[in-house]
Parts: sequence; C-alpha cells; structure tokens
Amino acid sequence: VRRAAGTAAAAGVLVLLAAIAACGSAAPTSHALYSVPRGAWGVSQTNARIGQLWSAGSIPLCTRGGSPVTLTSITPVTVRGEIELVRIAVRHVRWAGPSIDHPPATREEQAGLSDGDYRGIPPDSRSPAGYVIPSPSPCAWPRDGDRFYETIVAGRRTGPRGGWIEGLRVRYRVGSAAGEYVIPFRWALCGGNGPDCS
Amino acid sequence: MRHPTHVPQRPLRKAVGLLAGGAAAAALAAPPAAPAGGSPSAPTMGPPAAATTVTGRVVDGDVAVGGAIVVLRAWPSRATQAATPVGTRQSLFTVGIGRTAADGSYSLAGNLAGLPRAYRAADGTVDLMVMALHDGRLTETSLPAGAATRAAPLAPLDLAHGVESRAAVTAERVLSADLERRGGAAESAAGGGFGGVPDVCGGGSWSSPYGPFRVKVATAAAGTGLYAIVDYGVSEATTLGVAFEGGGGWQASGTSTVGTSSGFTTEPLVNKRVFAWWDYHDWISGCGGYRTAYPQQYVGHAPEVSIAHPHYRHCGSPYNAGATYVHGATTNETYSNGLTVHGITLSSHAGWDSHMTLRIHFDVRGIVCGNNASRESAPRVEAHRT
Repeated sequence: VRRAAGTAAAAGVLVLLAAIAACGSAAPTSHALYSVPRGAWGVSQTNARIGQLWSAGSIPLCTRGGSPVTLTSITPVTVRGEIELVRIAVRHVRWAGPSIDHPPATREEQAGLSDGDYRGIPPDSRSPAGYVIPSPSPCAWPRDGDRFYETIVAGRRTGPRGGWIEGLRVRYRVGSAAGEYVIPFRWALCGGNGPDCS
Repeated sequence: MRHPTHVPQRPLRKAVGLLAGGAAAAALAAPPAAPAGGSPSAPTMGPPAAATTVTGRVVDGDVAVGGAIVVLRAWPSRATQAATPVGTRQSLFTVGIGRTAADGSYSLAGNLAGLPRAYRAADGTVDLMVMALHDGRLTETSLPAGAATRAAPLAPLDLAHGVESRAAVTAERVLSADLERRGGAAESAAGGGFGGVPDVCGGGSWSSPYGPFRVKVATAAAGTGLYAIVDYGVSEATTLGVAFEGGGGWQASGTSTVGTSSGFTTEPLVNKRVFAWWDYHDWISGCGGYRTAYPQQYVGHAPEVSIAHPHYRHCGSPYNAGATYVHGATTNETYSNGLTVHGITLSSHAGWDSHMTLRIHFDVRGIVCGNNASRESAPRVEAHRT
C-alpha cells in the first residue's frame, strides 16, 4: 500500500510538471524558447481563393540563455473550419524592413527575407524537427536586415467560408531537458464574409 | 453633439478651425497633409500673420550636431495643393534659415505675414516644417499643431533617421554659401520674402493617393452592449469624432467638442465596431526623390487639429492586399503625435473588458512597423504601403 501511495504521489508530481510545462504561453519568461512578448496576434487573408496555397510568417522563435535550443516539433493547437494546414516550417531570415525599394514579389526576391503574408511557401523553409536555434536569439531587432528565426504556417482554404489555425505548440529540447511553449498566433484564410476575417 | 450623416471623401483639405468648434465634419473628413522627412510628425498649424520663432535640436542618435543648417519652410496651402495636379512640382517657401549651436540647438525666426497667398489658408494659418542638413544627410519634420505659438521646442531632428543624397549635398552647399553671404542666420522680412534664398531642392511633388488602410479598434466592444470610452490625451479642448460601421457602410457620429482630461462616451458606438480609415499619398522630395507617406484623408476620430500618421521605423515584412494584421494588447496604447488609433479603452468597471485589439487591414500591399526593436510586436504599431 505504501508503494502504491508513493507511485500515485510521483504520478501526481509528473502531472503537475506536465501541466506547468503546458502553460508556456502564460509564462514565457520561464522558457529557453519564446516568441514575442505580448498577447494574441495573427494574420488573416481574405483574397485567398479556394485551393490556393498561402503562408504567413514573421512569427519569431527566440531563445535566451547560453545553450542552443533544438526544436522537436511545431504543431497547431486548434484547426477550425475550411482550411487545410499544408506545412509548418522554420526559416532563418532577415526582416525586409522599411528601406526596401520594392516588396519581394518572386521566390528569388523572397529568399532570405521574412514572410509577412505570401502566396505559396517561401524558399528555404525547413522542417522544425531537429532544427537548432542558437542562444541567445532575443526578440529584439533594432536594425533593418537583422536576422531571426521565423515560423511559417502554410495552407489552403478548402471551402467558401474558410477557416483558421490558432496557437502553435512548439516542443523543444535544451540539452537533455524538454520544453514546450504555445505561441498565441492565429492565422485565417477566409472568404470575404468569413467569420474570422471580421 | 454633432452628427454628420456621412463621411465625405474629398480632396486634400486643411482641417482648420476645429479648436474653435463648428467643424466637426471637417474633423472627420480630412487631415492636412504632412511634409516629408526623416522623422515626420503632425502637420503644422502656424499662427496667422505673425512673427514666428521655432526652437529645437538636431542630433545624430544620441550625439548633438553643431553647425547643421536648419531651414524653416512653409507648405503650400491645402487649396493650393489640391489645385495642383499629381506629380507636379510644388515649392516650399523658405521662412527662416540658420545653423545649430554646438549643443545642437537652433532657433529659427520668420515672419509669416507676408507669405504669398498660395502658402496661406483662408483663415491665414500656415503649415510649417523644419529641415536639417549636415554632412550630406537630410531630415525634416513638420511642426505639431500650434507649435509655432508655443514656447516648447520641437522634438529633436535626428539625422540618424535622415536620408543621404547628392541633392542634399548640393542643397547644403548652396545654403551654406547663402548663410555666409548673409553673415549668419536670416529670417524673412515683413514682406515675407528673403530675396534670393534658394528653394531647397526645389520642393517636391505628391503622388497619386492610395489606400485606404483600414483600422478597426474597440472590437472588444462589439456585441457586449457596452459603451466604449474613447481615452485620449490632449492639452486643450478639441473636437472628437468617430466613424463606425453602421451595417450599411460608413457612418460618422459621436463628434463633440470636449475639454481636457475628460472621457467621451460615444453612445452611438454601442455594439458597434469602430474604424479608422486612411488614404495616403506620398511626398516625393526634390532632395533625392525619396518618398514619405502621409495621410491625405482620414476618417476616424480627430483628437487634434492636425492629424498625422505616426511613422515607426522598426518594420517587418510585407503583407499582401487582403491581409489583416491583428495586434492584441491588454493595455491601452495611446498613439501620440496626431492620429492614429488612440486606444479605445473600456472602463475598468466590473465586467468590462480592458483588452484592446488593433486590426490593420491592407487594401494595398504594406508593412507593419513597431515603435521599438521588437518590431511588429511592439506596444504600438502602424502600417504603411511598401
């Protein structure tokens, strides 16, 4: 009986730790990996035709401390409505900034630049699994051309009303320790009257 | 309380006389255009027919810049600008010229009484701007509302945010020679002219208007059955107006002239989403042809006589037409310097939500810029065309 009680207590601690780890979005400062320090944000696109591939980026992956962070996975927390999530990827890019003469319109021009909102999937998109982000990579970029690591979400609208993805769960490792963090980002592809583009 | 029945879209027009009241429709209709420059701010409402002294500093980041040439210039009036075809060069009128002291400070004096009619509004007000030149770099700013009648100096002109161009080098050389010829600072005579001070860079021209960029604020109030409180900070009584989606398109309402430090309950906003809406055009400077976007027309609430779009310099990557960028905040962010989206806070009374959501919709391709190095995640953001 004593052993069973101890096992139950240990399981309870594990559950508690798991619960704490799952609350990454509520306390990002405790994580080696984090995103922008603010509340929810997102991007929607009303001009996405059904079946047309779009992506959104500029979702930073920032790190603190001195140890590199290795991504394990990035998955959506919620997928709702008429949307197909095609891919989530990571890129090492620089901000386009205000000094660009012409916005990147082609794949060649987009190469190396962060993705605001883009038709298709931008070049050099990598799988998150095993991707290593050096530390520190703070969420502060005072100059044009500063480089950072961005998350890309890509997908298609599959119906007239469209749909959305809310929350990006990032799992990572620092050394032998695992971590998890939810980026409160929302991305919607919708028709002109879609409920999520209002 | 005034209730304009529609939001007119009309050509560029100076928004004057709001402090005196009786111009609520103008408050909703049209801000004055702002001049170009490295650190643009609100357009100017100079005093009518009066001697003017403008003070400020020129810096390069944190370093004071002594010996920089500073020029006080007058914009053509709204009517003049509206009557000038797109792309046609317009000259600015030089009102005062001088150099900064070793600590970067300057004091520019001029007399606006004798300005040609083309540079004066019907009520005599004048839009002014200050340009600074040093080592081939140029930066400009317009004067905030009423600045010419206040003792307070202007915000520093920062050459670190300026532009470099061959035209700026030429302008600096020409103006330097002119100053030497005059033996130092010069100001316009009562007749309004200098008799030969060159029009730096030959002025510039306006592009075709574009936009609109739409901003929705206070969506948190939609459907809540709550009144929104417009929280704003102005130093003097002003006319406030809002435009809202009335189900069949734009409607304007809720305008009122109120005093300082008072909230403004916009009763028509119950269960409404509040919008601000900008049309822009670019000022294409004669000094190297650089472009700076300014609001040509603004629909929304008008917290100041002059309304300008803030220009933050920490910008992200482009968003395509059709995109909406959503910026959530749990604290109210007041956009100083004229427009823009003064945060609409909901009262902290029980049951009221203090969350604010800023939605920037792109009808044209544009970028989001933040007011600090965290860029799009900065506390305050704005958008403009790429």
